[in-house]
Amino acid sequence: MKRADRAPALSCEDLWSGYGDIVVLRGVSLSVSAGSVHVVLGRNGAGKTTLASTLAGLLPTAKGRITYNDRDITRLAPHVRSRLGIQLVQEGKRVFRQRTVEANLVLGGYGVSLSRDVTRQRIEEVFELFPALAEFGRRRAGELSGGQQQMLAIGQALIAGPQVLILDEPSAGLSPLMVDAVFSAVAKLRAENIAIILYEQMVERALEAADHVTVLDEGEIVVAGTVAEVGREEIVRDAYFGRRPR
Amino acid sequence: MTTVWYGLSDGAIYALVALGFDIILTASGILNFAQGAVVMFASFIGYQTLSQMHLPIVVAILICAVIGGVIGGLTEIIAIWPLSLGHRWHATHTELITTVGVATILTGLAGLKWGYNPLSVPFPGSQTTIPLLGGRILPLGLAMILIAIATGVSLHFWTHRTRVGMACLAASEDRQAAALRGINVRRLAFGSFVAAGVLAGVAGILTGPITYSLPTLGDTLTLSGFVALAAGGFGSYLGSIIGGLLTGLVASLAARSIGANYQQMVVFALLLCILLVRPSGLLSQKELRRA
Amino acid sequence: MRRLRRTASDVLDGKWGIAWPLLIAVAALAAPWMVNQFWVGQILLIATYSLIVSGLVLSFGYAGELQFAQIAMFAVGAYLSGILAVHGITDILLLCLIAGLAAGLVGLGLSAIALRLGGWGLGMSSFFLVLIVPDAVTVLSRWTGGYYGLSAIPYPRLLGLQLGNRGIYLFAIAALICWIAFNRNVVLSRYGGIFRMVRESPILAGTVGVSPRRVKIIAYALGAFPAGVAGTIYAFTYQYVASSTFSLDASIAIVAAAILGGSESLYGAVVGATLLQLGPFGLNSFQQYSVLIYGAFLVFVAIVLRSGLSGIGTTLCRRAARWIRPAPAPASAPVLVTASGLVLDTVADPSPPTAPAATAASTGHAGAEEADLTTPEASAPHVLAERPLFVDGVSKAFGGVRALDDVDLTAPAGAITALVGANGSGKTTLLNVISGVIVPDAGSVRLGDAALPLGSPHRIARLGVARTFQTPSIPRGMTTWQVAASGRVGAARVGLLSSGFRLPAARRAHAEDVESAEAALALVGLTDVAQAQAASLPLGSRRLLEVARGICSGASLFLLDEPASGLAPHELDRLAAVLRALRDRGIAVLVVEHNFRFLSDIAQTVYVLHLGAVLARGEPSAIAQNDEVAASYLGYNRKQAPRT
Repeated sequence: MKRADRAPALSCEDLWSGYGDIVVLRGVSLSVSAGSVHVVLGRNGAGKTTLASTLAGLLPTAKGRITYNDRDITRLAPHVRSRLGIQLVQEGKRVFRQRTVEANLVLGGYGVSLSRDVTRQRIEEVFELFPALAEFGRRRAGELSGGQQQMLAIGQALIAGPQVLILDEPSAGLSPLMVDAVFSAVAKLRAENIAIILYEQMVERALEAADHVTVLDEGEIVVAGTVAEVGREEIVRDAYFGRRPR
Repeated sequence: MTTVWYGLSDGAIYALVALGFDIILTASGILNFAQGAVVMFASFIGYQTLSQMHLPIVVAILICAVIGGVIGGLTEIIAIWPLSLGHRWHATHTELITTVGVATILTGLAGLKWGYNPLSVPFPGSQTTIPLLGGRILPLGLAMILIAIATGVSLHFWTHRTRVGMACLAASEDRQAAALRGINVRRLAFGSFVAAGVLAGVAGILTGPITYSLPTLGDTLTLSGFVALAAGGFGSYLGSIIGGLLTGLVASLAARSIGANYQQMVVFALLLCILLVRPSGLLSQKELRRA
Repeated sequence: MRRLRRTASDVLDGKWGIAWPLLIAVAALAAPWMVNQFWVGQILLIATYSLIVSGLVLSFGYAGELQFAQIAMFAVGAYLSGILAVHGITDILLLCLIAGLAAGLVGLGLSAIALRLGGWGLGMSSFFLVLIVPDAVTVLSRWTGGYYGLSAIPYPRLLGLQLGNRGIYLFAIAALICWIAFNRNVVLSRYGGIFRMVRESPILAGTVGVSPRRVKIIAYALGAFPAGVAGTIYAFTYQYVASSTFSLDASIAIVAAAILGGSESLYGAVVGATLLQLGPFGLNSFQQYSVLIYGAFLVFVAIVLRSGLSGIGTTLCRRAARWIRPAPAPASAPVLVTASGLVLDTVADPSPPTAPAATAASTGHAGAEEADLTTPEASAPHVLAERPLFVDGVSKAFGGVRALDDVDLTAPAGAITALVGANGSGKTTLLNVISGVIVPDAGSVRLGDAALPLGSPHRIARLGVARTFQTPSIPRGMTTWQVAASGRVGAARVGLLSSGFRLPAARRAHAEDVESAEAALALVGLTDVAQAQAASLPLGSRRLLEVARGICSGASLFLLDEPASGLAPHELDRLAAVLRALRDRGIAVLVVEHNFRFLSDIAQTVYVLHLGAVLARGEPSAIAQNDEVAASYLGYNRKQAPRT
């Protein structure tokens, strides 16, 4: 069975969401399957972060459904979704700055109650994936550079052994080398059968890594499909800048 | 020197209130105005169990602890939890009003049941002062100081060493991120209210003998505890110990050197100095979040 | 909490209809001859507490921070008046003034704390202030009578005339009426707009030239004043002042009254005070259950308000009002005639908005209702001399990230300059630096010959810089023309007292505001919706309204942050026409935009930012062909783009 045909791990249908009175998402539907990468593109304000927050449970859903492995999770609290295997890495490198790197990673596994040994093992795996973190184990997370904090944030999410990983602009503000590290990590995770939703500004890199792509504008889907169908740059560029496809 | 000892033992009470503040603040980001009122209420329970019902001291302390915990839990359920429906992630003014409401309810209940005249709570331990380092202090007072220090230090180590404690620290830093990592922030908040309630319960029965039981005690304890909190740093357990002892000391010295009527004003001046000059307190990096 | 704040600050949204309140005021004045002594006493107490509660509603509504110290200011007023009266000064008017000012000073002190701390820090500190009142009284017992209170306060005089009980009562009612009238005038004047803007968004206030700090300080002082006056009245009513009156419980009760009554303008304060006094648990009768009830009430009401059952009474009143008098129809897509004569699409033809009688009557303004199709040149607001914008070497880093890297930019007067770049390229940061929201690490900004005082938005605004926001910052509760006119507050200042007493200076300023707004709205084509609620206009109209606000301020530099985003094609055309009109008047326009097609139509020069530095600059057509620009936009990071 081709990857694209597998049942979706995480999907949302006709999702409406926003902040208080302000409606941001207007009827967004998308899905991602295990072992595939779904990239969501769009300008600032188009609703990407709102979508990420809603999928993770930080924002309430006004209308629509979110399904995870055939289970309706629309009303579940964020920590419950996290424990079920959905991990969100928010934009802005939100690690616990006052705590050490190791403590941060251990906290990543809080929800799934790992034994000491398993935690230790997974921390080692994260250090393998991001060697730069290994030497900073005992330092406070706030002392790390932006790129390292971003890697730590991703590492936190990985400790919990997620089935679905949502990455919100992981490459923002990173140097080219770090960006490479992030994208190679994404590729590796895809190979390990994790479903990945990726929000990005860097269109070209993202399209290289993706199986599916969705473009959001003003909270609505403008373009969606497999990379093969949609990947043509002009369409994406047009959609990105707000012009509807002809 | 006796002045110093009295100041420190009063300060121990403030420190215990401040520690209660810290527990709740760390886990839920809320300042529980009713903390001092719970201490006050427990002191009345102490009066009731010791003086009226003649129960053994250990049983009385246990009862106070339980009642304190129950009040704390109820506070969270009635006055805090309903406000967070709707996915808010930051505490605001409204909690100030509701916790003031809870404090007022407790004051009213105490006044109804026991009246507004000061009641004396029996002393656990000896009534005579013991000489120490040139001054005199009640054994209970000394015990309070030690209990406050021990409690603060234990809390400090607990949060930094245990899993749940680390989760509390994480939640106090960034609630959203903590929730995403699988931490049930609501349950932490609830637990913190109960724990702070238990602490207030025990503190109350020990405070009663020193300060007398009076319904209006609640608000004064809350405010003095707040000064202790501000002095030591919001959320810092070790800081609260120091802040509490410092506040008690300042108040006592002021009363002795300038006059009892100036005591509160000096403490108020201390509060203003701290808040305006170093809002994060002596030992903490956090400033109290603007609502 | 927003709901709670909204309730207390509905002062600003209140209808200020005067029919009912006028009736009640007359009835109150007639009371001594109509009802028995007991009720007169009750009404007097209600009036006194109304003054105190109204101060809290004001400071909370305008400044947005809750403080518990009204009782302390009440105490200051009462004691000060009592002491002075005992020592021979008995003119009640003079004493009210002194007491009010003294209380105002306490309010100023509180504002210093509030600006620094806010939230709980302020709440706790203000509580503490009330706590030390008895101590202060005891310390000063030589004057205050200490624990036993200050007694034998003589009857007051009013301008030489001895006042008896009835006189005191009438004075109190009159004082309350005057106070409410004063505040009504203030809120209906441009100060209403100022307070709304500060409440809505301090950044917005800064960009029209208002210093939020100053406004908040005024709010606290203003909130303290009536409490002091109430103290004077109280002292003469009972001829006795004791510190037991000024307790923490009383403090809490005042807050409860403010919450309970607080809506529909300061009248809510009167409602709250009435409920407080007349309810089974009157403030003075310290019955056993009263404390308990207050506590439960606070918890219950705060939660209930939060969850949206707020102001059931308010909703009912509003429904009743709407049945009596139809509300103005919100404009969906009005007919537009812009300055350049371009007639644009009409989608629906709404009925012309009716002017609510109250606001129109009080402002004497009826002119803006007619569509104004004359060219605006003749009545154009004064535009400052043509001045180009020079940005020199501006840099800014946040943590380790370089948001701006040695940026040089010139936006000539009478031209439209565009600023583009991918997300994170620094466009909005640059805009924030120019408008003063952010202080750069290096570099300078000049408008014409004047260097802009970096980091001070309101001072920059007053030097002639106007700014719009990607999400239009339009305060609730203001009509379209009011929002436009609010641009003038920084440029042509009017005093608060002047507005409150409706002095000639204030009236003149108001007339000029109206004229200026009319002209600006005509230029952008929003004349038809001048009386509509601005916050309910469609996005395109709100964007243009922000431009109109800038026009009223007489700015010579316009900074526009993504004005085209989210606009439909006909709205884009309208926006382009307006921007060209600005350009034609010699204004320098700097536009941050993504929409390249839109830019190519209107911009003379385009600057491209990439990772905080200027990557390219030139005419739109040249930039569109530039490969490096395309690369940066789409995030091709592998080829490091060379810096210009």
